[in-house]
Amino acid sequence: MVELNKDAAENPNFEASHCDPDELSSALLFGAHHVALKSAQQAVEQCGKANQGLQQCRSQFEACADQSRRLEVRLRDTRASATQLADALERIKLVALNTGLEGARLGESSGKALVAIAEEVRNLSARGLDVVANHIRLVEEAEVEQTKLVQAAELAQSLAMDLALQLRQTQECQFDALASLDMLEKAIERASGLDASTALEVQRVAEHGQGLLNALEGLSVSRRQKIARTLLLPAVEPLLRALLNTAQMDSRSESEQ
Amino acid sequence: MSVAGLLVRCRGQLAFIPANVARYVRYDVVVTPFPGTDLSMALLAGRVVPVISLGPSQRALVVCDIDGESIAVSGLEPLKSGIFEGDEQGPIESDTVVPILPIHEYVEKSRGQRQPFASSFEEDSWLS
Repeated sequence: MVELNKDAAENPNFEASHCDPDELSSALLFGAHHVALKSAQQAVEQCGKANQGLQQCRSQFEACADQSRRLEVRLRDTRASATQLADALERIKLVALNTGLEGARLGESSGKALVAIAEEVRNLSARGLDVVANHIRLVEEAEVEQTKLVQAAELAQSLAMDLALQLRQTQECQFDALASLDMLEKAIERASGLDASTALEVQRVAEHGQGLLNALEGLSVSRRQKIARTLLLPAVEPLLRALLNTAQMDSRSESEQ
Repeated sequence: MSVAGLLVRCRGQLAFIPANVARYVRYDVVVTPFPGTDLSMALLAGRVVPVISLGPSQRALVVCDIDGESIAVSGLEPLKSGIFEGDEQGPIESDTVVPILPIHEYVEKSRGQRQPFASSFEEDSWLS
């Protein structure tokens, strides 16, 4: 189809009679062409905007991945400090164990207080160790989630990149379509002998005429006649006369040829 | 009646070391295997102390006094220390008597494992 249009656009001797379109058909063609052109231009514009949005998305995903990597470092630091805390609590527990042992060696009478304190300290450190172990477990879970987050952000980034590429290809196709439409316009102009703006005006006039006829068909016969006589005839009469004159001039010039 | 000492877990079982045997507990001590035997040794407060293993490696090393000599025991998990309700069989925990860990027997057994080429260590009184 594009090749055919190309031929029509580039070959000055392209025979209009091959297509043999009347003016109204040409006007309709120009109308369709105009709509297609506007749609293609709009699509190019939308693609450009979508591409810009996608670029912003990509940079946001990249920022998200960076933030997530920083979070990874923070989590690692938190785990390290929690491990240090657990170690300190273990040491306190050890001191409590040895103190309890010392108290036990002193005997029930003199070592009881020492044993009681050691037991209390040991219990507290054990509770602290439980809390720290839970804290470390939570940090580990957060690390797993964070890893998944980085992976998701990276995947989203690469998907956005693929999408941007596809959009660019779509935009190129639309540019091709615009070029083809341009050639098509020239071909129609050459084939019909009409320029695009005149053809569009003709189409508009035809549409108005069609609209008028449709409106009249919706009325009853008596009202239609009344309206035609009182309102339409004075307005349409000069137009009819002009059309008849044009038709007579056309037939005269044809007979002379 | 009450008993004083250290409650430990040894190979998943509760056991008890009396206060006159258990001296103190140490963490993260470097234990070096003694070639040709099941024994190891550790440096504690500037002194080389023999180590007998009663289970899989643990963080703690329980230093005991066996006939006036320091012997470290590894593979134990210290749980509690102090004075417990019990009798000469051992402390009572959750209505069950916790058996006393026969460290003397283990030491005797270890002495029997001494290898011929270890003769240069004859000065170590606990091995001889």
